[in-house]
Amino acid sequence: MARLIHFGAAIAVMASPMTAKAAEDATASEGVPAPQVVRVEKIEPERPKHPTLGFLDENRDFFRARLDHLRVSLGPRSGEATEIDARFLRWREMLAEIDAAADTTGAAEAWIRQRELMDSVADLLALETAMDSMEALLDEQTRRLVELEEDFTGRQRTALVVLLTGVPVTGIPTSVALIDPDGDDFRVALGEPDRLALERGGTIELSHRLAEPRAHRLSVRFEGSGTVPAGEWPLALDLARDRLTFVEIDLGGFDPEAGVPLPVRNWVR
Amino acid sequence: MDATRRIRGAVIALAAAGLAGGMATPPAGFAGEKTPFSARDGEDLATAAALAWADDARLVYVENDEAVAGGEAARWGYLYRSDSRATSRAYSVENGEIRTATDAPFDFDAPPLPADWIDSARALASADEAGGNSYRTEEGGRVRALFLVRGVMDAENPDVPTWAVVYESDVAPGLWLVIDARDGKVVKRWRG
Repeated sequence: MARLIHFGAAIAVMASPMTAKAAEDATASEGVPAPQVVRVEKIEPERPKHPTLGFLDENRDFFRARLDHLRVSLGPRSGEATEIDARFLRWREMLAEIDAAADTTGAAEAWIRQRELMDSVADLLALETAMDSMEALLDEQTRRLVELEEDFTGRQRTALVVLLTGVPVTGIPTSVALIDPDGDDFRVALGEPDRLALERGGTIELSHRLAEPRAHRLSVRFEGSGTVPAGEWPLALDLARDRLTFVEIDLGGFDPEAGVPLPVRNWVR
Repeated sequence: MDATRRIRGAVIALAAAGLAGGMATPPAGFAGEKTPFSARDGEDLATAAALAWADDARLVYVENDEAVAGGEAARWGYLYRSDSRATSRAYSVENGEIRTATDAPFDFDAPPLPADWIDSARALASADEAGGNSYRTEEGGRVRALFLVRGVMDAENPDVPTWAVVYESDVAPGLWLVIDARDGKVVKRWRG
C-alpha cells in the first residue's frame, strides 16, 4: 500500500510540470496571455560606508516631536554699527583716483589736439612732459587692476568648470548630462552656436558653479537622437578647497564603441 | 656543487632578510590612521561645502560620528538646513576631509545654531564633572552620543543652544546631561 502511495505521488509530481505546460499551451492557443512568472527578492538596504548622525537618525521621532512645539521668529535687527569691509573704502578711493586720472588725460589730449604743428622746442618739451604724465597714470591704473585681481582671486571659493571640445565619431550630442549621486544633477543643451563652435575646433563651457570640496563620483551622459555616444561614463574628481578646478572633456575622434575611457583632463587654479 | 649551494643559501638569506624588513613596524603616517579632533575644528570645512550647496545653508546640528574621547572624535557630522531648498544636508568630516555629503533622509528644520558655542571638549568636561565620571566608574558607562542643537533639549529655554551628552551602560539606565552651549553650565539631567 505504501509502495502504491509513493508510486502515486511520483506520478502526481511528474504530472505537475506537464499539467502546467499543458495549461500554458491551452491558454496560448485560446489567445490568452501566458501567465507571467513572479519572483520576489529582498532588496538589500544601502549601507553607507561612513554612516553619519546616527543618534539623530535613530531618534528622529523624538526630535521631530520636540521641534513641532517650537516656533521660530525673526528678532529685531541690532542697532549696533557693524564694521565696514575695508575693501569698500579702498574701492571708493580707487574710483576717485580713476576720475582724477581721467580729468588729467582729458586735458592732455585736448592740448595735443590743439597743436597742429610744433612751433618751438618748448612745445616739444611740453609734449614730452605730458606723455610722461600719461605713462605714470597708466602705471597707476595697472597697479589698481593688479590689486583688484589679487583681491578677487584671493577670495576664490571651491568651484568646478566643465568644458567640452571636439566632435566624436558618432556625432555631436544635443545635450550633456552630469549626474552626481550625492548631489545635484544638471543637463546642458547644446544649441546651434555650441555645435558650430565644436565643429570648428572650439571649446564650450558646460558648467561653472560652486562645488563642495570633496571627492565627487560623477557620471557623464550624452543625449540626443541618432548615433550619439550611449551610456554613462564615470568621472571621478577630488575638488580642492578654495580652488577652481577645470575639467575638459575632449570628444575629438572619440569612439564610444572602442571601449576606451572618456578622454578627460583636469587642472586646478 | 658546493659553490652553487653557497650561492643559493646566500640568495635565500638575502630574500629572508628582505621579507623580515618588509614585515617590520609600518612607517609613520600609516594610511587609514584617524586623528581625533573637536567639533569646532571641522565646522569651517563643512560650512564651506554647505554654502556651495545652498547660499542660505545654516548649521542646525552637530554630532559625533565616531566614539568620543576627551571631547574629540575621529569623525563629526554637521547638519545644515536650507530654507530655499526646504531640505537638510549632512557632511561627515574626518582627517580634514569631507567623507560623505548626503541629503538628510528627513527635513530637520531646527533653529540655526548661533556662531558662538563652546567646543565639544568643554561640554564633555562639564558633563563628566556633573555625573558622567561617576556613571562611567560605577555603571561601567561610556559616551553614547554628544550632540549640539538648539531649541530641542531645553523646553524652558528653547532659544539657547545646548550640548547633550548621552551616557549608556550595559547594566544601568542611561544618563543624559544637557549643557548650555554658551557657558558650559549643566541645565538638565535625567536617567533613562
